Amino acid sequence: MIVIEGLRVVYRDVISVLHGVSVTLEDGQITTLLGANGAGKTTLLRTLSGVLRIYDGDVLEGSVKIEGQEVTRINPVKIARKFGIVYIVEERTVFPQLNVMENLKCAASSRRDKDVARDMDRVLALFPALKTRLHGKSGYMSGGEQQMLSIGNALMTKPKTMLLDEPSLGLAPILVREMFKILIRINEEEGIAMFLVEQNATAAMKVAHKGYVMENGRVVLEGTREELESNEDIREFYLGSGGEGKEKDYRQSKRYKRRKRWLG
Amino acid sequence: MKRMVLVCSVFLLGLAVVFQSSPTVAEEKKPVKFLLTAPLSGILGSVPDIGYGLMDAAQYINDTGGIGGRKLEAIVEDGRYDVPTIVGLFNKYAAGEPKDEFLFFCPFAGPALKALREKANQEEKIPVLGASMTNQIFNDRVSKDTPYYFTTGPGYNEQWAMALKYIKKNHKKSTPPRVALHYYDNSTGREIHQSLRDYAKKYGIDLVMMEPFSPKAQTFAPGFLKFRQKKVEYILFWNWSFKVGARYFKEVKKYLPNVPTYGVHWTAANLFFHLAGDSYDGHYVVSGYPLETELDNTFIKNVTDMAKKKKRSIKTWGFYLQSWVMGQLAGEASRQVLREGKPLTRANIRDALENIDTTLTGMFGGNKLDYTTHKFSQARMLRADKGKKSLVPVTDWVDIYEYIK
Amino acid sequence: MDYLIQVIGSGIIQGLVYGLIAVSLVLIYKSSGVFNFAVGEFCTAGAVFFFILQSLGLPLWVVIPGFLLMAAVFGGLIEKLIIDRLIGRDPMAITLVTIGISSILVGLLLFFFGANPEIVELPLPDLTLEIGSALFISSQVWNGIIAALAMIALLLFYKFSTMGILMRATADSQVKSIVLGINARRILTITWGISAVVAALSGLAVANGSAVSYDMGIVGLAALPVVLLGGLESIPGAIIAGIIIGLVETTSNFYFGPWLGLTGFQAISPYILLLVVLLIRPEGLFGQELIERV
Repeated sequence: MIVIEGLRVVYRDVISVLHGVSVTLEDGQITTLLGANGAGKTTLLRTLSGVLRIYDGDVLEGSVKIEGQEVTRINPVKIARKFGIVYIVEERTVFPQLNVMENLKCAASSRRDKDVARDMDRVLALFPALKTRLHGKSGYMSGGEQQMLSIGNALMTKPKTMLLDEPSLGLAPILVREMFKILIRINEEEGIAMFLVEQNATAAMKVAHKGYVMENGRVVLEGTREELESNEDIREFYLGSGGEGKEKDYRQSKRYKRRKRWLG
Repeated sequence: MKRMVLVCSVFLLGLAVVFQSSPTVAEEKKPVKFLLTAPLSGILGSVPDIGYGLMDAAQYINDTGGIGGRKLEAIVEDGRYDVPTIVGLFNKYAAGEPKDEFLFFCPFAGPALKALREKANQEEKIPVLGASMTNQIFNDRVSKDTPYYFTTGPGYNEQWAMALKYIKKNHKKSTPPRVALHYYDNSTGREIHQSLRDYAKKYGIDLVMMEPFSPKAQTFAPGFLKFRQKKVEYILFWNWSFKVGARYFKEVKKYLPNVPTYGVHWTAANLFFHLAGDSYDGHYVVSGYPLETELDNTFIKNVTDMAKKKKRSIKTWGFYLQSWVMGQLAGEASRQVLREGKPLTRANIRDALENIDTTLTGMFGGNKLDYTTHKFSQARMLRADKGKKSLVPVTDWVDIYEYIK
Repeated sequence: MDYLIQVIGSGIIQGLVYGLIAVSLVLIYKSSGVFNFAVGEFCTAGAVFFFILQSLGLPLWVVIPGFLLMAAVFGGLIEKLIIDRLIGRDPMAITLVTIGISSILVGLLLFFFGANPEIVELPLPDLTLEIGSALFISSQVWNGIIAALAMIALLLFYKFSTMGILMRATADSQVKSIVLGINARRILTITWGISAVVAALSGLAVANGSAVSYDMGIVGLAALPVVLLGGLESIPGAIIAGIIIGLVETTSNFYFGPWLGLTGFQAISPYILLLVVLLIRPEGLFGQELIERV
């Protein structure tokens, strides 16, 4: 279990991005984090995976505890290996100059067990489209294929938790559906927990067990899927439906008149 | 307490005054300073023997009575064979040292000799005993243009002329000898070109090509390959860098095993046997200096005795002997000034050098040194013999001007 | 005709050695965006290590892996002690630091090795090659062989071995490697170590049949036009560019220089070629285009 409490994070000592964020990720569950651009979602993921320092960020206050251990001062490679955390970054965790097989080999390089070859076959079975692109540089693949490879790389590390930063970005709706179906499958079959950061709230809500909403560096709402889906503000601002479930068009929304009912 | 302080300070002050004065006592002890900016690092490599030569000669002079009670003091600095460094050091000493103490200078770099022409001859008017035997300075006009400049060997042009004459004399074929010059690419390297052409024409020698080499290059192959193509029979190796020479001898034997190399003064060193092994064998060299192994030469006997006394392990005898000669000349010229009853000034020393009356303790087999041309005139041809692991003379001591007529 | 063989043969061999130095530079540039100005000193250090081991009287089969190991440790140490502390900084800043490292190394070499050059000769069987009047002396031939073998070994290693793939991955992106549990910092240290080994081999080739001295590092400058010509990120590019530059130098020395009546022309001819190529193709002949998806 991962418990984040009261996290305050700044970049370059002056730009304050997280103002006291608390989030809990249960083992084996898919938790989603919704929010507009600039809400601080990526920063949260960077802190969790330990790479915050690389971006000139610092934790001012608060704690990140994985299985009860404080990890804010631990080197990210150790976090990845010891706690099975894998971070699928927004640009896709794919090495563009390497081909598919080389990518998977790299991802598996920190493993010492004998199932590596078997896992590679499983990944290719999961994403058959990759089989047709085995030998070109992966940078030339389409967005969807890169995302698949990204997830494949993540799987090769035998993770316990996957952090996904806007995986649906730039993908056609049909691919998004496919991808989320696969994520559900992975979660159910392997018991891998997922922290799914998304702007595409509709799709995310369909797969998550529970969720958080962030705005301007603060968590403003949390709840189970049902709770969130029924919340009027969520529906209006994130799911695009107005009041009684009917779709409102832009002219009618009068956002300037409508205030959200949470403070933030 | 206060009284104690007063007494002590007066006492100390008095001591200081006493030590400051006594001009007569200090005068006698004033050293005669000889500044040498030797190559201790840099492109020529490190040759500490150059410094030792001067230091040991100074000791020899001091052990045999000094200069009227004054000691000859050798000051050795690292000139790096680099003109700006050498000029900077010279300026520092010229400005900082009293003119009746700082009486001799050696820049140890031909280009520096040229750079300091005005400063040394018109401004400072200080006797300079150079190592470079460049004809650009040491020619007919030396007494007028650069009267304070003297060199410690025969002129380069004369040495190369002797080499050419020797080649012609010993050339067995009926066709003129095909000779190539391989030269260190700088101004000193280029300055002998015209004289070489003139003498080659005079003796009937085919000077096929003149190929430069950069001292920084790791290989001389480009030149060697051209010599091969042009079927060169004799190579004139014009180099004074000990660093370069070692590599050169090894490489030339690989490309041109049957072509003898000829050199002057600076390539005469038994050390090359140690560094380049047998590939030094067969190198011919014109030299105005005796060999360290010729113990029947009284000059050499003095030098080797001192070197043994100082427990020196001399690697480059040619350099050691040369700077020794500078020190010995400085001492003997200064003594000559005092013998003539004159004060020891830079101008008087200059005159004494030009008219010096000495055999340099038998350096040239007993012949006197004629310094009116500001350069030496005695020379021999030597040949490197791998059996003896030493250079051996193949001619007697000759007057070089007579030989090259 | 024989003359042409001489010129081309010498050019290729010289070019292979240049190319090897260039490969050393490319390895580091690819992995950290840093141009290692101390590469010349890495070459000198390698030759010095070889000389030290050889003068201890050890047999060749001990000396060769021995000096390579010393070079690897040397490179790794420089990375760990200096470069590692600057991780995250602008690569240009780190590049400037390598200039400083270069000066320090020259000073250390002068201090410990001395100002005198020492002759280095690889005691290998005589492979002197004579084709008509063209002559390739043994050490030259061996240098070409060593350089070629080293390049092939490196290419194979870099392309196919696990460590090679990891090096390429971290060169692509350190962050992505880290989040997949790859110890990118350790791989960077290893990269510098391997780069130093490559430089050491080229240093040996440069000194072989000649001498090693504390200021031999100037040869590093010769690799500058090579890397820029080949594109800073391509190993095959460095190799090909090396051969091109080597040929340019020898043809300038034997043909163009004499035609134009210039001595020393071969020293600047690589730069003239470089100027022309960069005007047409600024990223070099084989420079990496960033694969960007719009």
